[in-house]
Parts: sequence; structure tokens; C-alpha cells
Amino acid sequence: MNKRPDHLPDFEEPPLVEVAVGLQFNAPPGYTSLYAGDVFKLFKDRFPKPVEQFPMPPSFELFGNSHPQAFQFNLQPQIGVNRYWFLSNDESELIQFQNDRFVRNWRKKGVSPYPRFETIAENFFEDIRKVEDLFQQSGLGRILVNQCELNYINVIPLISSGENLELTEIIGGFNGLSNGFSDFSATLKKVIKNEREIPIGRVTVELTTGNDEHRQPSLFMQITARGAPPSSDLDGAKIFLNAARQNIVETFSALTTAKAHKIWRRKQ
Amino acid sequence: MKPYPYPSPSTLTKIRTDQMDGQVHQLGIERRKTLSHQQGDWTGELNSRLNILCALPVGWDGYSGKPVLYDLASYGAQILQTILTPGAALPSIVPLGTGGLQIEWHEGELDIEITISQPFEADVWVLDEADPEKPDGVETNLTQDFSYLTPFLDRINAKAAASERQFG
Repeated sequence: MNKRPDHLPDFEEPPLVEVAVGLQFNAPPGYTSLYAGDVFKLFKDRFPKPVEQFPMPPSFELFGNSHPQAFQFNLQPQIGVNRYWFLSNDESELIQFQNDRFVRNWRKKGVSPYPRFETIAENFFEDIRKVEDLFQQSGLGRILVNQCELNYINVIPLISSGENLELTEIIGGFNGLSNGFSDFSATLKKVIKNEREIPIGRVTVELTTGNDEHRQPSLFMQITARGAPPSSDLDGAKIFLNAARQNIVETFSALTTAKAHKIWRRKQ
Repeated sequence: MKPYPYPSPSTLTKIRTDQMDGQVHQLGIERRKTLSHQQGDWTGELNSRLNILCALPVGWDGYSGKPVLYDLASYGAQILQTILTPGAALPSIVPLGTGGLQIEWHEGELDIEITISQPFEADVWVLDEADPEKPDGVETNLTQDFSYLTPFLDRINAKAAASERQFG
């Protein structure tokens, strides 16, 4: 198991409600949706509830010019390609599989504690290696990863100890927000570079206000790190995802205030 | 000039964009299909072009040509999304018999070709006739960062804009 980096900020009660670790890989030539049944068999004992979903389109973090994106493409979905959810019995864990994706989600259910990234990542790699073994036994070849993605979803109540909190008490750097604004939405992006200063991915932060499942005013903060691993094998994916985790935790800590850190019991 | 790995441009089959109703309209000798540049609703145009190429029938080239693979088309679309600016000169998009695609600009003294045969892998060839030291052009492999193309595309866009002012 990976060891948590010593310098990384650590919270006893982070406002995390979901973490998703995922890989996008080259769709194996020769793959048909019949193989999804074989993949389900690998996980059926722990994830016995299958659900069909629309497929996720391929997504790449690319760099080209400094202009905002001029347009979006909408390719028609592929025929005969489905995404499958395999849910655990309590639905707190989920595997998502399609011909070019493998994602594992942890979702907060009730008062269950956050199992920590190291555990989630270890389970993720254990499971994707099973898929890779199956692909190889089936003649589909090795998994060639082209993008990795790590996603942290936080729901932050704008109330603490019975008192309403201003947004500026949770997130820093948005000074005008205390001036009577009731709704807030923002997207922030930063480039991830490798050791040679070459851009390899992005961290994207999406912030929006709304009500949580208990109709409590909340700030939704989704932080995603996505990009290309240093090599297309699973070891390369591990390197990228470990760096992505550090990036996300540091971004979260940098964007949020000392007061909020106290509420979440920051240890270091 | 870079040797064409596929049939030469003289044997291209054109698809008329005014007849894009989901059918492939073949004009001329059938070996390769080109979707030509057209101004106007260019986002929709490019979307339509890519969707049509993904729906080509097997054997579209008279041999065993495959339709453009979805993940390769998606990668190509995202490259265009990354490098095109509003009002940019549109490329031709050409399917390859292997399921790949080629994105091309040919404007005056500049030729740019992006060949996509694998997801997350683009072979780029640029021929700049203004650069006599590289008469065969420059080939490079790009995956993620396409800023290398920005100065060439800026020149193509400027040339196309000037041409439009003159004749438009």
C-alpha cells in the first residue's frame, strides 16, 4: 500500500461525499459488449447490482492556444457501447466499466468514515489488474492507458454549530462574495506539469452553491485532476494518480480558509 | 513533398457538404473521401463531418476500409477544439481505411496534416514553403500539447481572412 505523504494536509473530518478513481484506455480492437458480462463475473460477489448507463465519451486534456474554447463537439454516441455500473450491496462503492473506461467510486453513506485515498487506490488497482488479466486471457491485449482521472466531491454545509456561514468564511480569495450575493458558481483550472515542465493535465475546481440532500444551504466543490500518465501501463497510471491526489489535496487546502480547516479538524 | 501513405489527392472522392443528409455522396474516383471547407455554421459542419465519417460503411473505399473509430474521432475533435479559434480556417477531414483520420489544411505556402491512427497519438507534418531549409517539411509526433501548430495556423487564418476580404 502507498504511504500517505508526510507533508500533505490532513483532515479528520473532511467534507468529502464521493471519490472516483478512473482510467481511460484505448478501446481494445475486437472488444464487444459481450465481454462486459465476463467483467461483471469478476466483481459479482462484491458488486452484485448491475445497472446500465449511457457511455461516457472519451475525454483528453489537451493544450493548444490560450484562447477560451471556441466550441464544443457533440459526437453521436457509439452504437452498442454501454457503460455498466456494478454497485455494492450498500451502494457505497461502485465500479463503472465500458470498453475504454474503468472507474471505481466511493460514496459516503450515512456516517461511514472516508476510507482514505490509499485504500481506495489499492482497491482500484487490484480490480483493474483483474480486468487486464481477463483482457489478456481473452486475446484483447494489455490495457493501454491514455488518461487518468481522480475526482473529489465535497459538500460543505454553509452552517456550523447552528450558525450560518458566509461563503468567504469557507473559501478564500473571493472578497466580494460577502456583499449580499446569494448564489455562486465558478470554475477554476490549473495546469499540471511534469518534471520537465511539460503540461500533462489539469486540475479543475467547480464551485457552486445549492442545497444538500437535507435542504441545507451548501457549497459544492468538485476537484478533478485529469491527464496523461508517464507511461501507458498501470504503473504509469499509479504515478499520475498519486500526484493527482497530492494536487487535489493541496488545491483544496489552498482554496479553503483556516476557519473551515478548524471545522474539518485539520491535523497538519 | 511528403509521400502520401494513401492514394494521392488526385484520386480523392469528394463529399458535397450541401448534400450531407447522412448519405455519403461520392463524386469522382473512389479511394479516399474528403470533406471540404465551407464557411458558415462551422461548428455544426465539423460535427456533421465527424459523425458521417464514424458512420461510413465498411468497404467505403472500395476495399475493406473501416469507418472512423469513435475514440479517434473524439480525439481529433478535441484537438480541433484546442487549436481552432473563432473564425479560423477550417480543415479538411479525411477518413483513413484503417479507421483513423487525417485533418488537413492546405493554404498557400503552408500544408499541415495531422494523422490520427491511435488514440492519444497524432503524427503531424508541416510543410512551410517559406522555409527553404526544410523542403520536405517537418514531421513530429504530438500527443497532448499542440501549441507547436499555433504560429502556422495563425498564418493560415490570416491568409484565409485576407482572401475572404479580397474576394468575399
